[in-house]
Amino acid sequence: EAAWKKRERKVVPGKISKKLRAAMRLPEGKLPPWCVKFKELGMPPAYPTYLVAGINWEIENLTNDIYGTLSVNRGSKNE
Amino acid sequence: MELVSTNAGSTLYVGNIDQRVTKELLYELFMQVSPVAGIRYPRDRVLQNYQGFAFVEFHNSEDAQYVAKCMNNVVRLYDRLLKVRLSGKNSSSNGDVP
Repeated sequence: EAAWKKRERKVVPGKISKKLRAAMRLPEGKLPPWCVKFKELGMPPAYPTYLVAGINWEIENLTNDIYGTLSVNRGSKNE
Repeated sequence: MELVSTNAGSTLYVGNIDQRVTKELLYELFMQVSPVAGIRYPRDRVLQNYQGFAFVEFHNSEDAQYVAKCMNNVVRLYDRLLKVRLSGKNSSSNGDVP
């Protein structure tokens, strides 16, 4: 299952492939549906550094395929 | 092969999956919310088509519970709304914590 392992590495939280976007019928530049739940439930416990556009990340960061990132920086806002 | 993980508290049952959904797609989807430890996505032995459900395992039960709350009735794949709940045979009715 080397091919599978390789594919796994390409998947990062905050980025949605064209294929997944198409399956969800999610237009580009639109937040995926679970982001609403992030607001309601709090951020995922598994990703303490998760930054998501429109929640704890500037909405301007939202691009065609990226809506969030696992920030390596401490969560401080540097403006 | 057993379908239900020994690690039942950290495994979710995902149902109402369209035939076109691949294992890779499920992996990418659930990775958005928590790291996925493994996926069992059975196919019919004869017809080779998917059965419409999968078991997705996470690294601990806290993650799994969060994902269940976060993803149940939230995502549509090919216009079918995914059902997500904790897997495990001895889980009492959809678990209020005692």
